[in-house]
Amino acid sequence: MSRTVDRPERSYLGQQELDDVVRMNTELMAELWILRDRVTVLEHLLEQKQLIDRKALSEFVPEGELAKELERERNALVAKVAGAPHQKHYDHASLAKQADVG
Amino acid sequence: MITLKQRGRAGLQFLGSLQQFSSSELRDQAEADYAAQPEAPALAAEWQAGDVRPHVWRERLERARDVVERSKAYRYNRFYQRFVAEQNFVRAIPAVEQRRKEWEALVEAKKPKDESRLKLDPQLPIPRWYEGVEWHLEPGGWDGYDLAMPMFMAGIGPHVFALGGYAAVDVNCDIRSQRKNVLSQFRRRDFRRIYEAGCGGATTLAVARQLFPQAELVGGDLSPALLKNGHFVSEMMNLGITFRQEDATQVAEADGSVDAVISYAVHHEMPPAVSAAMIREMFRILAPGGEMVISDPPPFRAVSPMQAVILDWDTDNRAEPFFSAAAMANLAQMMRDAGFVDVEEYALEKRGYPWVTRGRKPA
Ligand SMILES: C[S@@+](CC[C@H](N)C(=O)[O-])C[C@H]1O[C@@H](n2cnc3c(N)ncnc32)[C@H](O)[C@@H]1O
Repeated sequence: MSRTVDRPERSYLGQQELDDVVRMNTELMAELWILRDRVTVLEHLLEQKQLIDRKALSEFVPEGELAKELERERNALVAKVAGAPHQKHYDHASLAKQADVG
Repeated sequence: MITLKQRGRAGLQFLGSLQQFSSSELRDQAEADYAAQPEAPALAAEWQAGDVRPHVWRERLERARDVVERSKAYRYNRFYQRFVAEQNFVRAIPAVEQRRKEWEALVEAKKPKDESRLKLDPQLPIPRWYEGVEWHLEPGGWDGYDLAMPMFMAGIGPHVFALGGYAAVDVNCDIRSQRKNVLSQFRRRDFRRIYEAGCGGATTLAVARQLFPQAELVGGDLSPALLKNGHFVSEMMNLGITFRQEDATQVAEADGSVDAVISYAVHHEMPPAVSAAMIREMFRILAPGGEMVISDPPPFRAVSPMQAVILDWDTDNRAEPFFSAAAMANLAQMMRDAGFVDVEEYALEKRGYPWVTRGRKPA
């Protein structure tokens, strides 16, 4: 039996699949906000305990190994997300290349 | 009161922000888009024609909706309104479950010592039109969740509802001060006994206590869960309100035994025929010279075509089965038919809400 709380079948944006994509996007926006809220709380608490200085955090410029690590992670993220629609096949060689990330 | 953990709090605050954006920026854009449509003036003129039969309203609303929906901002606005309406529960339930132990301990510690002001009736027949409805997309409805009270008080209430911008409540409107404003519409202040039909968790009666500190306050409702919540709060805050589980069309008050009757946000949750029966019942229990003040979403005839389309939307999209039927009805006429005099109807704030209908029983 269908219940009142079931999602209606009609679409709000003109096509079910479009609704789905915007739903996913909105869910991600929520998760992104929750994370940003948490990071801000985390910084605040760390600063209160005098473990970090929030100003120094903003002014910090990564160098050397840390800069390289961030670059690797960033490139991998971009390739994964921006590349998702273009991914036609996968094999051991291409997947093994991802092993040094994260 | 309890507070939520970071994830639950931030997630609900996000929904509050999204609803606020949707009901201000997107809503304003949608309004501007609508005003620019060639059909807008003719539709506005039709609305001036006042009361029409339900099938004429349906036909009018459909034509207006076709015009309103041309706006992309409107379509996104509705998408987000629906999203927030359901996500309120999707996010608040897990968040409040994380506080179950704390809440149960608090309830145990503050358990009302005096049960005499709560009268439940397990035998009360529940109307068919009421049973099983998951009002406002709340899974299980009013009586379906034992943590509903902290879910609203610590979660959806402060983080989402307090910002306004849903159903008939305009954005940035405060539903507490609206209640105070509505209760100030009673012409007299010297009531000895006040009855609220469909009092729910006593949000309105708690405000009534401030305005009428001396009066006896009595609330009736069908929902045992809401009555228990109301009683819990009333005893904790020493409000001295009496609660009874009963149908607003058949209440346990003798003829002429109360001086004032409140009805707040009740008629849009019942079929119009039940509203008429309830109003007749309230007339019966009122003493000669007694007053009734009703506040509910406005009727279609009292708002713009676009606002009417938005109110009508709630029926199918926010689990409000009687919202449209109620907006086609005429509470003022029902009051006159029941015998009330000096009946007036008017809006207190923007976009026709709160919509007040008030009248007096002849002395
Ligand atoms: C939106 S709530 C409003 C509660 C309260 N008046 C307030 O201002 O917060 C509507 C209430 O009306 C109650 N209700 C609906 N039909 C009723 C009836 N026939 N008799 C008694 N209560 C009813 C519901 O159970 C619900 O608690």
